Amino acid sequence: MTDSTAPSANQRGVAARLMAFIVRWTTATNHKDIGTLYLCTALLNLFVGGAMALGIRAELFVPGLQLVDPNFFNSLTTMHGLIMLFGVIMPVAVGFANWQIPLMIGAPDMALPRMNNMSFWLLPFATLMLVSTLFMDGGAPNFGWTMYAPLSTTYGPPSTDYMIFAVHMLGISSIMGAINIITTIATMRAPGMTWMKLPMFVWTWLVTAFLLIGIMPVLAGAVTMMLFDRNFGTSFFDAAGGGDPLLFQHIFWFFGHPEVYVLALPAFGVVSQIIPTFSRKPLFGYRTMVAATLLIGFLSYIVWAHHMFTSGMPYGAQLYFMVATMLIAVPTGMKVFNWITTMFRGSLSFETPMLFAIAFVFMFTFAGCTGVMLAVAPADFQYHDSYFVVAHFHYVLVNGLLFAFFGGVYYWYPKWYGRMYNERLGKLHFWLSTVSVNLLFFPMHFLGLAGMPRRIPDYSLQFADFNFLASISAFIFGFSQLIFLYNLLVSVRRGEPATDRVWEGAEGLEWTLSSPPPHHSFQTPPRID
Amino acid sequence: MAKLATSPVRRSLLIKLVALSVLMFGFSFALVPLYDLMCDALGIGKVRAATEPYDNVAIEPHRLTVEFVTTNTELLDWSFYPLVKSLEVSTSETYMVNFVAKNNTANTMTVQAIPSVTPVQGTQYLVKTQCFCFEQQTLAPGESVKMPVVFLIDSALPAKYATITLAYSLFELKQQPIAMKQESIGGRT
Repeated sequence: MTDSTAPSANQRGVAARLMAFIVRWTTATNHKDIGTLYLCTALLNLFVGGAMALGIRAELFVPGLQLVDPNFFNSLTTMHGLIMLFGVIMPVAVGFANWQIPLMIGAPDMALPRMNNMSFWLLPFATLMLVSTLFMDGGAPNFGWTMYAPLSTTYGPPSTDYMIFAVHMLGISSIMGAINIITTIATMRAPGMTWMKLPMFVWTWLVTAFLLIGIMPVLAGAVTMMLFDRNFGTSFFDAAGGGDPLLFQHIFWFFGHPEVYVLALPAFGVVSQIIPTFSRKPLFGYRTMVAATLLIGFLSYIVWAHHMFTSGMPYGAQLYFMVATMLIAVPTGMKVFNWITTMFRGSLSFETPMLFAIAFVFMFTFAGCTGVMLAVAPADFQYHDSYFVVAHFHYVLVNGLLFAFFGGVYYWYPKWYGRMYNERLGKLHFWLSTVSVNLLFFPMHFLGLAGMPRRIPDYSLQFADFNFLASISAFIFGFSQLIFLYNLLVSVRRGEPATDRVWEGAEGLEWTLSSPPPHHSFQTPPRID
Repeated sequence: MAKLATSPVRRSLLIKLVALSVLMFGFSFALVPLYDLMCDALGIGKVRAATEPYDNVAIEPHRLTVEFVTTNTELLDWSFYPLVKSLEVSTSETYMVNFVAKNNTANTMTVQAIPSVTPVQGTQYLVKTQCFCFEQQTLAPGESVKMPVVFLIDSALPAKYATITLAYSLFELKQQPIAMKQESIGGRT
């Protein structure tokens, strides 16, 4: 900068390098590049959505209206939900799929690399469009991520149309991703890699991809109907024109409930890879794991109306949806028992990925139990739309799935980038996150049972203490994630070089390649016996 | 790569998966008529009570007892009582009963009576065509007034409700805010 003669040459050099950088990443078709792009986007969005969450918690720090206008508060909860689901958990799972599936099944790349490029590049633009609504006249969508009609149709702010198109783009992106994943798994397995030899992570993603193809078009249909009701005078959800607002809830939750398992199954897959490695035992009950995955996929399609018990369903329907929902606890329980039995009498060691995986098993099981409580139709009338629900699904999504994906990143990071992360920082990240996330979400159960409603910027005085605790813990949890970011960024250059096998107990095709793996993962397909 | 992408197995799988996505998009729209069909088949919703006229229901008039009770708060020194304690009525016929209110205080006061029906399921079947509870009463000290209620019981009232109680509570009006609410209260009961 101080040299006055160098800049022009230097700047051209910088511009050329910048151009090369942009071209390299925008035209990337390699599964590893796409995987990295997905993971980086998800991480960025995690901080965007996390900042929104901290805005929410800052407002709820003490009773009364302090920082934000109630309408903006509603926009924050809406955008936080949409960003975290569509911008974080889904992309991180697709990122894992892109990196890992070709490595695990012995393929050189994904089956449809150019489609892969497109399905990624829709994502940042759709997210950008979604976030841009915050700066529009009339504010961002403020009706919650569930977009219930008529709040989103008759009463939605003008920016709702942008949200609708963003959801369309996100939907197209995930459908293309899912098609690519199914095609890869179906046609590119190495010789001898039969269905019942597929690694568990690949199985879970196969089922996830079918769920995505089944539900994302339905969400697209629901928001398309919203678009038509808003702009073209149709009455899908308007009772005055012969429609029915409840129909929206049915269509939405037909998408919404399998969506939960779209998010959860890849996390199950990640944990099913981590636990055997650090237990130095093969996964217990592989066949039942596969069966449980398929069963969860099937059941998730037929339980959607448990989100709507209070909407005035006939008793028979409530009974059916209650029992069917509880049935999901059976295959999920099978998985939990298999993970525990894998650890049983194993030679355990507690590196960061294993810590996150064990925390996942513990806290996800807890979240499953509150899920069963919510499934009880008569009891649900008490819990519905209270902080108990908020506590439940944050235990599923944050304490459960996000922790599993943190574990997955620590587990495969040395393989992907050829460098070990800093184990001490990883453990610090784990312990700070685990303690703070529990202090953050656990009190919300009590708040909900005591009657605090969700999606409100203000609350009565008796809820003050637990909210105070939750807000402080939220900030600790939020800032702990900077340790994770720092660890990843620094280790990519300064970490110790990783061995090919990385972990002593690691089994599977990806560990037979170098760290990082060659550009075309498996040039010649490996033989599996 | 090009050879891989056009392999017949992969191409047919690709076509099937794209077709499945399109099919599911269509399915979301098929849910609209399916939802109506389900509601019709199961007899759910569609605000039937309001759209089907009562004479479609074809219910015979029957007899029942209507009781009248009154309460006024301890703070309010008024006398307030019905002239008849109960009445044997036939459904679909109109009756009139009178209530008496007397101001025992030394001040001119304005009060309003708020009705309620027990059991609450009977509320929608007790139709008041005229009621003192639709208005406010202003009485001078020591003044008393006789106040009529004209009502009928809808014959759609299930026969298991053999007794219905119409209760009035008397409240002093210090400002005017109930003026708007009284219509909705009066209209519903």
